[in-house]
Amino acid sequence: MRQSEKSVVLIVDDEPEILRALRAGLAAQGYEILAASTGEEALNLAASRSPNLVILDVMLPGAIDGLEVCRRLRQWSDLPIIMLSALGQERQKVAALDIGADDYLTKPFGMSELTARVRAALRRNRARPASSELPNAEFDDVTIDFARRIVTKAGEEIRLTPYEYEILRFLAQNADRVITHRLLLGEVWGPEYVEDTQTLRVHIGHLRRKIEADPARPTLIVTEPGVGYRLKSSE
Amino acid sequence: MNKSKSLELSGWVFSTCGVFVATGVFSLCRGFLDKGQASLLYLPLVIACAIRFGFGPAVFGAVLSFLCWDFFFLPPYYTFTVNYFTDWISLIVFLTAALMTAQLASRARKDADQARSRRDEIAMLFDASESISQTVQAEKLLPELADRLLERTESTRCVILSRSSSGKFLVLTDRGAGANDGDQSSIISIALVACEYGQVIGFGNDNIWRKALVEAGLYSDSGPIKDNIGVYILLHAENALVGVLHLAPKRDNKRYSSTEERLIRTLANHAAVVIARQSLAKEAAETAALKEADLLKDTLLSLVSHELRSPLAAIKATASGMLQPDAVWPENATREALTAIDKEADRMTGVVTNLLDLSRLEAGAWKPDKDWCEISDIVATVLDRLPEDDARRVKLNLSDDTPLVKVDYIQIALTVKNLLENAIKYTSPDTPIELAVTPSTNTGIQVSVRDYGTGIPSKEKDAIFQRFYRGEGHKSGTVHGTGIGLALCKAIVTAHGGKIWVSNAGGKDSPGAEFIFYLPSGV
Repeated sequence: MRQSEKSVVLIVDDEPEILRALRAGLAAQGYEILAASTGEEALNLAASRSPNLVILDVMLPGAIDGLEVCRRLRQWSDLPIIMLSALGQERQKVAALDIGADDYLTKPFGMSELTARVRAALRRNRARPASSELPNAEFDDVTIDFARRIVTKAGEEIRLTPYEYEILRFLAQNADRVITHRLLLGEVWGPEYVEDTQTLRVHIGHLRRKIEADPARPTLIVTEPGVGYRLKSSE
Repeated sequence: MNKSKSLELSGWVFSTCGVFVATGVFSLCRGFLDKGQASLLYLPLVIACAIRFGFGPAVFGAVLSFLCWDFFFLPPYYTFTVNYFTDWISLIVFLTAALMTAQLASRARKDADQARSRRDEIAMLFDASESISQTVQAEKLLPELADRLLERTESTRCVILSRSSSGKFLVLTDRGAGANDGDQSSIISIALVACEYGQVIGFGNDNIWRKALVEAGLYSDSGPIKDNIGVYILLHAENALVGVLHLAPKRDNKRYSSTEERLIRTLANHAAVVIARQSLAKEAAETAALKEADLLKDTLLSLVSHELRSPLAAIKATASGMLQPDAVWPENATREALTAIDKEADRMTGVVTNLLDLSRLEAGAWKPDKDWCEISDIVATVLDRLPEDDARRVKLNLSDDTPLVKVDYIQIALTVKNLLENAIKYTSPDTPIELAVTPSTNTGIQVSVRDYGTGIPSKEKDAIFQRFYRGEGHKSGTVHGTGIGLALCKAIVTAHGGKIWVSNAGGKDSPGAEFIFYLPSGV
């Protein structure tokens, strides 16, 4: 998929080798690349060059680390942010997603994985402004009519409890984005329930039984271990 | 034993001679003395005998004086006949007085003796507990305790065994004349029985030692039973059975007295404390070692996760990027990517090699293969292998009269290479690096690598040689490092009998670090 006007991707990482590899790999895919190795530099570039997407390492040297960059970006922009983390940095990764990062990748990762995430994030972002009035959404044979709050599977209506519907709605509106437990709980149950992951698991289980073809091996609502859930759109 | 026998004998001799000498002296002045006064002169002699030699010699002296007095001083002289009734009374009174005095004086002597031995005992126990609180090593303390016991009880052998929680015995100390006889196995088997019964063997209850002998398989019904096997005391500390103290029978094969029993039990308690403390100290050391190993593991893990994963991530990203089907790669970008993969692979190899070298060296598995070398030759080889831009920064200062050294060529080359690479890595590319080789004042050589960087903070001068340690300023910096290089250098130099250290060269105007190592010319 080639963009008519080039999408601009800002890559932020303190490892020059990673920076070089990502720059080359994404440039080969036709993106225009901006690169930064510190938090300050990243914020400056994001403000002056308005990239379409940011790839951000959670660990950055200096006063402003990846988390802080993510927090500050979110104060004035909703441009997609993909976090990069190493194994063992789960806590920072989840914190970044809670703050509002869209997705994450754990190093080492393959370039095809990254470009797939980049494409999904860019597409979602382009669709977003038009979706203030929500159109119906379709995932495999499951359709959601947001206006009438009706969910059908293979043409038949499925009866969902209010909580199940809210979970599905929120995941569908953020399709392909990792939604952390906290975000989901805060949105559906309210801010005082953000720690109540037990409840969430139960409702997700019920929901899966109603919409998944094989609830034991879900393909729609997939688990991001230790982080949250993601509703997969068929690309 | 011999000493007290001779003391007893000399008591009899003293009282006999004393009485005869006194009689001789008194008889010279018989003219001036009243016959009654003469009897009084014998009394001090009897008292002296009682005090010095005890009741027996004193009574003997008293009877002898009685006879002498009668014989020499009571008329008719030189017969045992007594003419006057009053003389009979005098004689009987004298004998009674002498006997009573002897009795009293000897009792006083006995009391004094007892008090003295109590005092000695207390002093000894005090010494023992003091040495326990001062000495830390059980290896020194237990033999000392055993020696004291042997000395005080006249036993022939003292064995102290420790008992592990699994019930295994270990001989901690084996002292005394009997120790040469060897046979510890029968002692251990009886100790085992004592532990099973949870009872002390050798004091009081007679049955238990017969039972113990039978159970330990040391007695068959046919043979005569050995009736004295000494004592076996269980050592308890902190609610656990920590060992057994065995004391062989006394030299005269007598049973231990209650005083001795008290002493033995007290010292056994001391021994128990010592053993318990030793095992606690061992546990503490083991815990400390585990903690250290844990820390090392953590450091290694974080090191591996950073130093190995980041080149790995770069390789993976680059290679997978090139493999993408719809990617368009300009010619020079492909080449650049391949170079990067190559470089990152080298970086990983470097980390892994250093790590393996260090663990081999520290485990003693990589012994220096020493041969006579010229250090300038080693330096030249190292410089040859450095990237050209880096090698150009190194200014050589080789002294002409450096002696040959007997070293492992590869290991020393690795040391020099690590020091140079550090200097290159941590300083600005436009500053020089000086490598000097000089003959040392001792027989040997000194190699120094001096840079013009920021120097090493004095509080980190020792720490930087520890494995996985990274300078405070570099922990989160952009310079890659594993904290292995200098540890490797130190391990190599130490294995060569040399020394490595760092100092801050120059003053404020030209700061920088100077790493120096000394190698002895060859052993």
